[in-house]
Amino acid sequence: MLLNGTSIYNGYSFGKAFILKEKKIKINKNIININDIEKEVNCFINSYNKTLKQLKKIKNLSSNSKDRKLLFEGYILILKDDTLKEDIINLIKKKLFSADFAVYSIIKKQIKYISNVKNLYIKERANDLLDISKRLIYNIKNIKLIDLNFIDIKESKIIIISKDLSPSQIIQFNLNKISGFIIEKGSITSHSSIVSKSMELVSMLGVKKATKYIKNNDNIIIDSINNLIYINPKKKDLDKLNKKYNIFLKEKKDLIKLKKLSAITYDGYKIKLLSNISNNKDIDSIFKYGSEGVGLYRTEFLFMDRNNFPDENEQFVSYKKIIKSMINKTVTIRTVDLGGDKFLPYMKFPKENVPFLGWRSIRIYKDRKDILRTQLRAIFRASIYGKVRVLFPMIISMEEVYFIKDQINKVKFNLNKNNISYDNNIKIGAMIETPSAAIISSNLADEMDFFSIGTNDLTQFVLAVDRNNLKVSNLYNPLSPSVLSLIKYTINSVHEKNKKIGMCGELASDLKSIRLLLGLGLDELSMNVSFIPNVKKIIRSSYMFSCKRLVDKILNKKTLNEVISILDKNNK
Amino acid sequence: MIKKKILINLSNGFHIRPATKFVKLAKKFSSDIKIKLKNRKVNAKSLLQIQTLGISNNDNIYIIANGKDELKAINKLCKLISKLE
Repeated sequence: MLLNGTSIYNGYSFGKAFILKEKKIKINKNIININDIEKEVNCFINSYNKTLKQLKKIKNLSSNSKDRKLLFEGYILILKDDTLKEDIINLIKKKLFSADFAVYSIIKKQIKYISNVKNLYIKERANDLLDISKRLIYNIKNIKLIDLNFIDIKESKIIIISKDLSPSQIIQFNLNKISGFIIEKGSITSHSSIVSKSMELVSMLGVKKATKYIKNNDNIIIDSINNLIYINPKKKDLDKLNKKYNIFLKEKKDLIKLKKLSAITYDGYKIKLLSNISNNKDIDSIFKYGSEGVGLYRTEFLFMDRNNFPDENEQFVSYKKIIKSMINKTVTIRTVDLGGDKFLPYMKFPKENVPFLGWRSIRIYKDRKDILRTQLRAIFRASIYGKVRVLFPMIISMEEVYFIKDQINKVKFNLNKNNISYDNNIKIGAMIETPSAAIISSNLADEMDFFSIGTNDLTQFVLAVDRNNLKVSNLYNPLSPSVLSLIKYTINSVHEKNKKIGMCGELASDLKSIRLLLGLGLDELSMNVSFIPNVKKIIRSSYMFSCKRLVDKILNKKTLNEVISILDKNNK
Repeated sequence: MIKKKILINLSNGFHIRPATKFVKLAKKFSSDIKIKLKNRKVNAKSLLQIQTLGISNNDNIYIIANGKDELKAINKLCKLISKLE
């Protein structure tokens, strides 16, 4: 039997199913008899003491996991809180609640405060409190909790099947015995997803009715590359999967081996492979996949999901963290790209008919110089910790370039005046994502140090196609002859002025197009880090002269279909 | 009484594990210690109450101490927060 869902970490996982299903508990919401008060209070106190004892035992067993130890210490602190026990007993005595209903009500009240916070991570915190209340209620009702340490299980490869996972469950797991998760609920930001990724556990989320179809001890294989789960596979399938698994392992090894090698063609042409990041969580994978630096750090995420602008110091701390952890690899910070489809709850945006052609990015800076200057000051201050470049979005004119340079000079003047040090040779660059910037790229190259082509916006603007509009999105393609010829023109103009130009849009990680991009002469490609090994592999198996020939052939074609068919043939 | 503003730089916010470290330290001081986020102020020695604040990454919180060892308390607690991961 087969099931499917969303895969979190690519690969294969083999193991025995362990269904994590907790008994539904019915809370007794009826009012108790006055004569039973003492009995009910005692019942609670017994459960309270028993729960404390259990938590202390787990805490002491957790010497191998600091996180687990600290979590249970926290649970104990919460239980021992001055008012918690008293409040619960008061509910039993004064409102005649049953012991379980009293626990439930008090914890629910606490959770209500947290639920008002608009933050996914914090909301998951409610699970800690729920876990504590569950422990108390289970003990009141004398029900045994599932032991997530799996002390009694000999099987060393367990695949956990569950409706959902809370962080406190995950932290209690003995991960040495787990080889994957299959979860019915769960989003990419959920804890199960984060843990699977960081532990490199092959897992699937959003698998509907998994706990219904899978039984305890079923043999399970997760093939997350094809988004499939096999339940008790037949021998034929098993052999096939084993073969696939071995090939996968070998390929993975080969790709990781590439990490230390540079992206160089057979005939010695080098190109830089950088990564696009949004926050400092992406840093670890940069080193793992052998990226040569950050080609695009989107700073928007620093500004979102909050209620006010991040101040200079806050930004400084974030930039410094990333720059320092990159250890002298280039970090390209793009100043905040607001408007279009990115709005902030704490900033007023005008109602516009076409926001993508409206008040956005650099146009906002002109009216709100404070936003730009605060960010620049933070970046400049952080620049002494490594190699930093600053990239400006949505440029359309030389006036804008002069404006930016003027602002930079003012920021530098101010820093000098206050004796604050910064890297005086910081490079500044422009995104090429409007037709206008591409057309005047030669002039831009007189003033700017480097460029990055944003293919997503550039394609939309050159073709006048909104790619989110299903009626016309089939017309959107960065390989269209008009877009390619403008890209070629831009690269040539910039190179004539001896400046560097890269690409950071989706095209830069389109495996079929890599040889075309090489041939066009780009100096850098910046992409989501997971693409880097595959892109590198293609580059290391190419000849520059044949890539140039490919470009000549493609630029001579008049239709998109011809371009696509040449690329298809080239990649066979 | 001393009041000090401090920025939370924890990608997952002030969740139960960092908060446990904080409360354990706060309990070592005799001063009355409170944490304030926006308009709510709670007892910094109660993990339960701190959890209800829902302190997130990039929040500015105030630590308010009142008592004999208030200065030492504020300094030690702020130092701890800046070191938390």
